[in-house]
Amino acid sequence: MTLWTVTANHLSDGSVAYLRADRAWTQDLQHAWVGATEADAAPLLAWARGQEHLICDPYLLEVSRDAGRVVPLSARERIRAEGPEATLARLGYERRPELQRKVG
Amino acid sequence: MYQYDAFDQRLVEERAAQFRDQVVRRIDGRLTEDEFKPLRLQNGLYMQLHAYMLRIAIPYGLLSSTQMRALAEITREYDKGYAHWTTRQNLQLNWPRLEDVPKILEALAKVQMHAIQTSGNCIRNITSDPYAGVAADEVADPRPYCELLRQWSTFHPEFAFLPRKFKFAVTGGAEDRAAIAVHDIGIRVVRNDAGELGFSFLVGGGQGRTPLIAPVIREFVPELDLVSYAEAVLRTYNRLGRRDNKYKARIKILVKQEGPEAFARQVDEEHARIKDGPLKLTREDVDAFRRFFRPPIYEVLPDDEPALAGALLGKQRGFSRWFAQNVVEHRQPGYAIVNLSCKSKDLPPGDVTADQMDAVADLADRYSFGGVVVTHRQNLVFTDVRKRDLPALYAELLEHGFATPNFGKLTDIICCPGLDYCALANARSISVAAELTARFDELSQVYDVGDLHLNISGCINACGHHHVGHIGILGIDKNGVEHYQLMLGGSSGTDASLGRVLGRALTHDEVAPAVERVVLAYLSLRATDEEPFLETYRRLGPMPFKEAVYEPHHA
Amino acid sequence: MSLITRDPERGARLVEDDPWIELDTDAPLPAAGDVVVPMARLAGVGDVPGRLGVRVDGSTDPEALVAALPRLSLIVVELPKFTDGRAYSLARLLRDRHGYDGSLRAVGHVLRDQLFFLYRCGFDTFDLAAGKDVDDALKAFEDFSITYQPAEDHDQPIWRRRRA
Repeated sequence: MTLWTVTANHLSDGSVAYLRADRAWTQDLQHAWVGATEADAAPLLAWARGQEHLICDPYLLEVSRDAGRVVPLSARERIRAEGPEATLARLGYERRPELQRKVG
Repeated sequence: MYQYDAFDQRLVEERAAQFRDQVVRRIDGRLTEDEFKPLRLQNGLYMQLHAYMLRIAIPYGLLSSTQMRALAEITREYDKGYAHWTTRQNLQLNWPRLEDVPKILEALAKVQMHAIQTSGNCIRNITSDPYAGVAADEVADPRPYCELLRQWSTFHPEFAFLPRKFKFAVTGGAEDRAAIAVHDIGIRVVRNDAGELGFSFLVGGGQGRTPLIAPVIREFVPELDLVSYAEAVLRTYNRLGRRDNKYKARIKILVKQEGPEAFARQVDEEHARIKDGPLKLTREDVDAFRRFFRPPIYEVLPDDEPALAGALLGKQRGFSRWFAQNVVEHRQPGYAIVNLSCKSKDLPPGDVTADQMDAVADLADRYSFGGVVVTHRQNLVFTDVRKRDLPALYAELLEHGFATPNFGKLTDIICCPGLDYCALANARSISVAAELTARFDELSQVYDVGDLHLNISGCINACGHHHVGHIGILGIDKNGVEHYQLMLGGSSGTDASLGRVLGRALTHDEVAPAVERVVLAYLSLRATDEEPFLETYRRLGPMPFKEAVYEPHHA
Repeated sequence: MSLITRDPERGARLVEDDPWIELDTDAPLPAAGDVVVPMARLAGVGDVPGRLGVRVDGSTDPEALVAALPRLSLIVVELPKFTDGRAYSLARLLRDRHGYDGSLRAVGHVLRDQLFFLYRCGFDTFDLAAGKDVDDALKAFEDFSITYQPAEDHDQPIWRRRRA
């Protein structure tokens, strides 16, 4: 089932931003607010458009739940949520280390 | 190479200060994101999937070792220690923070560099032949003209808001190594029957959504009319190019709609009215630019270098293979042009670490008069290496990861950053390149596959030049799932042509096996061991390749 | 909206009272004052009480204005979006080619970071988009002290100026 959330990029460093239920921004999709319909998400998007001092170009994102995890529907958004797979790993960088710290 | 004077220096410093102010105004809210976007883009700053991306201009690909060291330092200080050479001979940083970008611009300004007009609907970095100045087939060195055009186009007040982006490429060689036919303006340095220098102007080529080979709109523009003619083309485009639909806004659409003859007439009318104005060059103007590009002081050396001959006969097979593949004839006896491959199994195509950049700077100082060129195939070139130094240089290149003997070959893949980084991409390209590199590394050891350009773009914008790859791969999106179109028969050379889609789109995991089937089909179909892929394809057409890919059991 | 102007002698400053009265297609001519009429009305407009101006946009062919130029003291060029660059070429053609030496005014989506380029192309007054900081905008003309091209502020390219 398609669910909805709001995403953008942070103004300061361009990192991925997801809107939380308390209207703060998080880099972790698992902490994002998720709504059942596009209509539920629309007011949050409208609010997010007023957040230009923190984020850029917010938009609605389609996701689903899979074994309790929030998973974006498109390849693009999955990569956006997880970071680039190619270069960083080979150079010894972890994917999105800030996320892994939180999880660990 | 060109050296900034006080004017040029002040300009890049003022640019850094201006951008610092723009960033402040964006952060404090005086500029909205919509207003800031075109400003940051004109400074090469994009918002990508996970971070900002900053594109640094490398005019006609030429760098000094000092500049290379500064780029290494910036990459280390403000990014994650690696960066990416682009098909426009530029460098991209993948992870700069917004507030650091003004500092990066200040650091660039200290070594006569900038990020001016590396994006946006303006005249972009001017590209050229990586062998400019040393190519044996050169009519004249294109770089003085590139620099003239660079200065003319930098902050040109009339052309800062064109209908769409605008790319120049200039070549001075008989062979086209700058892909001029797929640029908005491609310029070839020529001589007319009277022996005078001038330029053949190709206008309206390009890749992207509507790939087109540029028609020649004027066979001979006299040397001193270079800048005024460029201004006439740009003014015509700025006034008449479409602005209602960004997919139809490039000059290629205007030239196609008007027809090359009618378009050329309008340009000529405009040119007639400005050609004797202040943009008319004088001999003195041109000479002043030429002086910056005088050849280095070469040693008088024998062309048949005994040390080299010995090394080639020696036991080191790797050296002979590398020499045959990556080293090109120089016009100066005793010297060679060396291609440094940035395509290895260890990094994505065109990626380079800060440590590698430092190593290149050091090698350039010791082996090639302190200069290095970035190519549109995302490799590097040392243009002036003594043949006697080749064995020693090879050993060092090997150590630093630049000696893959694949220049112009199957694993010398052109590849954009794709969906791993790029906000415009539809599909990953780096992982496809990695898969192909792994697969073909062995195959190309076994067979001599010959010249084969494999180009991958993660979307229709074609930064990976898929239209002009002998084999091109285009990432597309099908309902959120990555797919890839395979196209064959493209070329960016003197015989430029556009590839044709072979058949239905493939999934990510189908791509490498399909390309392998194309290559194996070619190996069995080629008329002789010397017939390159492109000739075989042009001789036989797509059918046998189509069968090999889509009906492998029948073939 | 705030109107600012720049000229080589007095520099950049705010225009306190704008004498120009904008007329639409049908509005009657006032008894006194300087009027700006739309392009469509230009050919038909007879004697005016004061000075005459016309309002055009970037798509206007400068040739269509040539006959009227001697009568015109102001040409207002509308920029529908600040990314629409046609106004820049129009301005240069009016100045360079047709010798227009009246006032050229940019209106519409006019932002601080265009002013330097607009000025170089021959505009001398700028109706800044609503809500934008005037003091900030007045500084825009000083963004660069170096320019490379011949335009309305310099008649020679940098490569000749640097030898002078």
